[in-house]
Amino acid sequence: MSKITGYLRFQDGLSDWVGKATSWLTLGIIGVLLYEVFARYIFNAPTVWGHELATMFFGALSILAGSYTLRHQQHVRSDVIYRLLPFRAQAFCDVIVFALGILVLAIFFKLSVEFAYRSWLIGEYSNSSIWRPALWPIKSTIPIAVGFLILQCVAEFVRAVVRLFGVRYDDPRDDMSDDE
Amino acid sequence: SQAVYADTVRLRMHTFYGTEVDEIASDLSDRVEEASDGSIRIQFFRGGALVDSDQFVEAVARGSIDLAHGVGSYWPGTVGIGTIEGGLPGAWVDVEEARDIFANQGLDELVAEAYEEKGVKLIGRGFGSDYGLVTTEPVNSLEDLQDMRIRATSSIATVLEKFDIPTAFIPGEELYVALSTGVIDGAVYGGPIEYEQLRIDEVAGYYTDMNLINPGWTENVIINPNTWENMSEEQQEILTTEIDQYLLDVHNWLEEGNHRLIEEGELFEFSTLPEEESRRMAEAALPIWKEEAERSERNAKAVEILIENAKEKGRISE
Amino acid sequence: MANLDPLTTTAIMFISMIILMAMGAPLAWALMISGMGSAYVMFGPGGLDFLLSSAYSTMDNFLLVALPLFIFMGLVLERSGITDNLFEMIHKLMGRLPGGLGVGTILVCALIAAMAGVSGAATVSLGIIALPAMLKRGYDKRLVTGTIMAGGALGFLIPPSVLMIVYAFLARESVGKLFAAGLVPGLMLAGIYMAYVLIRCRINPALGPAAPEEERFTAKEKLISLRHVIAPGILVTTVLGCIIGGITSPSEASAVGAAGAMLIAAIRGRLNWDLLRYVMLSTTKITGMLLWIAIAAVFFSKIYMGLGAGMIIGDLINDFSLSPYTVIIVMLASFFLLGMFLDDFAILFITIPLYVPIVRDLGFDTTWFAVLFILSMQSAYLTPPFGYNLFYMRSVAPKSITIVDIYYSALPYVALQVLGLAIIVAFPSIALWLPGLLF
Ligand code: NA
Ligand code: NA
Repeated sequence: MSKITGYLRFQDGLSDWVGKATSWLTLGIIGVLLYEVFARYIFNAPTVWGHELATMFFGALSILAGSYTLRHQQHVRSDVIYRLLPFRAQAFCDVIVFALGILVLAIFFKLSVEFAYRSWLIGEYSNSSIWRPALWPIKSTIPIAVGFLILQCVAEFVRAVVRLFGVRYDDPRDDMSDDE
Repeated sequence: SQAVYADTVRLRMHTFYGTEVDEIASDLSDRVEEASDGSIRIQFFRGGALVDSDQFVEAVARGSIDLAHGVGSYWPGTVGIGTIEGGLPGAWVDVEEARDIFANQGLDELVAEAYEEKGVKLIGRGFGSDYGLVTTEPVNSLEDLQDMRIRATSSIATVLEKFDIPTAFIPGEELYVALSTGVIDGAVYGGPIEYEQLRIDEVAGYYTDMNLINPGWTENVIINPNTWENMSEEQQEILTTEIDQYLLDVHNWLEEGNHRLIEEGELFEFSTLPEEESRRMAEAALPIWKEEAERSERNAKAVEILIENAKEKGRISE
Repeated sequence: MANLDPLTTTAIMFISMIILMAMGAPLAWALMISGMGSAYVMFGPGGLDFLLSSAYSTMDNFLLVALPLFIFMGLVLERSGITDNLFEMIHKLMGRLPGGLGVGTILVCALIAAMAGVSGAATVSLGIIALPAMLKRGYDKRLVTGTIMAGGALGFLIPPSVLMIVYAFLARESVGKLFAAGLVPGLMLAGIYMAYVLIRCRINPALGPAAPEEERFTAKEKLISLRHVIAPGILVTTVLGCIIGGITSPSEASAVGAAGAMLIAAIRGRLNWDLLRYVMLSTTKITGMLLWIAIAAVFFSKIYMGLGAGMIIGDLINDFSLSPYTVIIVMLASFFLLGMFLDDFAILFITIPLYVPIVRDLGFDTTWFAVLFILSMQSAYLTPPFGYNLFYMRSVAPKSITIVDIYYSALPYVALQVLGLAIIVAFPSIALWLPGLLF
């Protein structure tokens, strides 16, 4: 196993781990909202936290899922023209796209770290219900998610570069046809 | 041409209102442009267009927008004085009193200080209008509300909770369906004119004035300090004058609409909560004043101003 | 900070985005990169913040919570074998009618549409189950391929619909109202498809031959086969009843639906760790895909609007002094054109914030316009070269069906969708009757 293959296997494994951990939030949302409906109709006492907690779970799920989706190449792309290109040209396009992507995401990462830090610093809380939860936990999921996404982007960038230079390597993604 | 552009200050101004203030906003742009000989241009954005209303302070501080027209109670989690600025239940009974508290009794100075700490400059103060309860069933007492689920936010929600009235948060655009289908039985969202805009009268027939606070909220305009510094003194003066007029226009539009609708009496079955009930609610609101005062030294000073004012008006004794 | 006129801004933003997409960039990447570049060059560093505020406001939205849960619900149902049973049922009930399996397929599609929020579920599962079964019985391959793809696209119009939820989020419409508005047009379209299949098979029975004698079933067998519709029927009624009857908000109803789907799977003995894990992971993947597009597209359109370029469309309409109906038709034509190249969510995010204020100012009903938009997006799923249902079909269809077959098979149904669209434009009450009645 070459170093490249080893690295890719590690990075893909990391994104899979993030995805698996994140996927539990789906059950979390269902649980919270079902409890809310029960509390309202069976106990006649709606919670003050149900909707907001479910929204926070949803927000975390959405943003954290990004790297897992990329690892499984599920981010929608239109390959109308791309697939007509020769192999090396495709690799070249990927190099450009992922390099620019890493740049943009790096800016996003920096901004989101400041965003979460400011929220923590001033002890910001939400005012949409009388629950008034602290907002730094949900805001912190953004830099975490963007950080994982950058790491997976680097792996995609490496894949594109080695393809561009015609380096032979085993891509772990090819032999494990997804993991389910 | 380039020469004109170079001297022109272009200001991105965001409001929390939707299309309803379009005309007032375009009047503002016209007046500012004319008074400044075209050296200030305002580009106006409706609620939700660029930034969510509760993110205005952050967006203005960072300069992604230059001016924001918002309400303090949208962001007490960011600017601690926000709830008091927005309007505590029982704080004032008419717009003259509210204006006096802000302008002459020192509240606006405290508020401006709080905004300055967050990196924005307060340049305008506006006042809302009626803030009442719409319900699907008539409400004559607090007891009538006990079996209802009410959409309310902030301090009103806290007061209602003190009477064991369940509250929920529903976004404005979902109010119509939520009321028509019974997900909620009532809402405190604005005055008759706002309810008319959302066509709430089709699904909830009763409007109750709770007599807790009028105007029900205050509005403000904040600006990015760098933008402000980069304008000449004359430009600054033109801007503040016209912003004041704009805020007054919004207030007058709300007041005229509400008075007209209440006078016509057709939109809703209008009623007022009995004095005794309003008094009970105002009393229940006092602990909120206390809670707010405990949040910071500045908040304590602000609440002190409100208490002194209420004593002077004879609304509270001790 | 550069001051460019709206036309130049529009050209720079859209052309750079299209170049990136042509280079095979994922849509979310194309939107983010082109948006960030434009924001920095034309807005200054303050513009970069909009990416963050777009992310946070998309994450902090209770309406969108329904999105992953309706996806979850659809996946559980697909995995628990309900589609197989439903197709077996229509085979018993309608196999003897020329084209009967085609008609039945559309019925099953409509039923799946009422359970799933996205349109992939029906296309993929019927592509696997119904397509080979119909080919084996001598059905015309282009007729059945098109039927399944068009039927699958009904998932948007027949509630629940993920696309409608996002539309409501952007246009500040009510989800419940949109769901109610989509139902009748959705059923109307299903009716049009069924009529089309029956007419073509009546004219040329070779396209959809009746089942042979030995595949005849007794009335009793037919009646028993109906049992398969009970569980999904109850679930659909419960979820829609929760929303339209006002028992719960749409987001809560989606949780009820997801839990109900798991209950059905459990009753059928299919609920196990493998199924749950598959559903959780697939939901995560699809949510990641949809929400990152949403974030990037909200950001892109904010930059575009913030540069003042949004007025270009309003100005164009004023300059050409188009009549109100011409404006609507121009908008629909733009949906159709964009639909050939772009993803439905991208079209939604780019056009709706610009169009809806104009539609409102012209005095049209925005709920009606929402239905027109959703209908147009059904076509976008079928129009080559970029159409999801074409891709889904290609991924499950047998080798004998080429990509050219798939493209051709879609065309008559696109024509039928345009017909449906024209009917709704001419008679808005088809869409507005039910919401008017309910709310
Ligand atoms: Na659907
Ligand atoms: Na298409």
